[in-house]
Amino acid sequence: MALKNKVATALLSDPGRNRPNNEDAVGEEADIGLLVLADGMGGYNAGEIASGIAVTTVRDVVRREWREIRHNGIDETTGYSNESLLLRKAVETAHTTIHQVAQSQPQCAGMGTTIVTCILHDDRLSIAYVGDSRLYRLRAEKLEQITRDHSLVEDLIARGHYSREDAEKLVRRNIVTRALGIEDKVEVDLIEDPVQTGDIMLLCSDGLTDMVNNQTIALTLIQFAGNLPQAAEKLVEIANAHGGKDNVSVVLARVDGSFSRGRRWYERLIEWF
Amino acid sequence: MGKLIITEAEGGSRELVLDKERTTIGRHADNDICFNDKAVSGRHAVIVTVLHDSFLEDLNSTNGTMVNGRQIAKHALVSGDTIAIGRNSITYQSDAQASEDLDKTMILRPSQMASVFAPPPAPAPVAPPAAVQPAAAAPAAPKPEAAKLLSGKLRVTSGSSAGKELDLTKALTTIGKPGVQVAAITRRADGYYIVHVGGGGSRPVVNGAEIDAQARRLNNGDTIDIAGTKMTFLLS
Repeated sequence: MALKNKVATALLSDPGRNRPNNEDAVGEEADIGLLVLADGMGGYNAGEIASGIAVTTVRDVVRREWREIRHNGIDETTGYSNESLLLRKAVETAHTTIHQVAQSQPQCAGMGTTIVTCILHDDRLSIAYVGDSRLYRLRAEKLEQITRDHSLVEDLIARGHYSREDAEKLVRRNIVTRALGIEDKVEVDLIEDPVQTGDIMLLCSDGLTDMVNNQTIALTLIQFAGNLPQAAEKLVEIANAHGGKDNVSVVLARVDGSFSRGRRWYERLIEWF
Repeated sequence: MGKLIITEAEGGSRELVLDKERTTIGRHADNDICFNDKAVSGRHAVIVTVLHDSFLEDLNSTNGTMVNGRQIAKHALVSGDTIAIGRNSITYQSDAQASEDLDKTMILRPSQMASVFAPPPAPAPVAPPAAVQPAAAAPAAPKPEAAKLLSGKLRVTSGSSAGKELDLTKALTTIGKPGVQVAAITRRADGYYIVHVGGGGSRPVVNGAEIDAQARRLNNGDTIDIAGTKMTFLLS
């Protein structure tokens, strides 16, 4: 249970049926409301190292600096909350660490990882992500993908080179255009969104979404909404039943009540009127 | 990495390893694979290689490019594919290790991006032979840009504040009257979304209809009615 019993969570990572090892990593800091998921890539077991560093580093940085930041403030220059900026800093630190290890260890050369991470704070959600691991939200029984993959498919669609239908036929999936650790610098995308009681957040690696369609994911979450560990097991089970071609990881969070800090954020931060 | 077994119309046969990002095929001498065959266009096709994968693209050639007997515009090559260009035949082979990786996530580096960005899909090949070599052959690949943040704003269209504007520079912007009706506008990679957050039984109205519980994407020109004030959403 996270955030003083207002948020229920479940985390599960499975090697799948096709891979000798598991290069996904998941983690949380329950008292802060932090969730992390990473999908590593690289020769030998370097992917495992990369995703492990990503999750550990994000947890460490956020945990260490959580009390230092000014909560419930928006940074005027960037337009992001301080919580979002801390999350981005944590992801950037993870990137630097992975990059350095990749440069210094021959068997880690070229390793990288995707990452999707979020903090639930003050009835809001800060999301930071790089790559094609996703965050979905189930609200009023509808599943919505909140993040947009940093992938070749999405890039070509955004540039108008292909329609979504054509891109999914002609362009190979699973080619990411951004990942932690690979280049010198990385651009981390941030999203902020209000949270409502009843929301279920799903962070997942492509091992889930490549094997299970959105409708099945939605129905599973609706059916097992009251028991997140079971929902997580069910999702992994279905992914494996459909082939389990890749490691599959899911992180679930269900909002059971308000966890606001005092006055509701939207009353404190109102822009107009 | 993949390789090609090239069998020319006259019968000669050779191998070529796909270790370059672009392997060009055509009648002109400056192609990587040069066929002395009138049925082959000067710049006929290109094979783009990204990590372990190779993609074949026809460059608007006169007589087209076939894979396994079927004409293609673009095709992701699979080991064993037979490509027919003019009266010549190319077989694509990739090693076992690469095909195991088929489902693995791979990273595409910015330097490789340029070769992957072909010009937009060409319309169906024109029947009469082109007098001039098609422009699609030119390396007009757009440079990958860093993702630009969206820029939206709200303009009040009713009441005493009509004309007033608010730039949506924050990731999360709140509008409305606490206790009456409050909505949040959140900026994601692909657009702005409005969602009801608090106050009152009824929800804000977008384009004349009350929004439901889901976040609703805002399109340029959408009108928003909240807490008695009307405004327009503008996206540049």
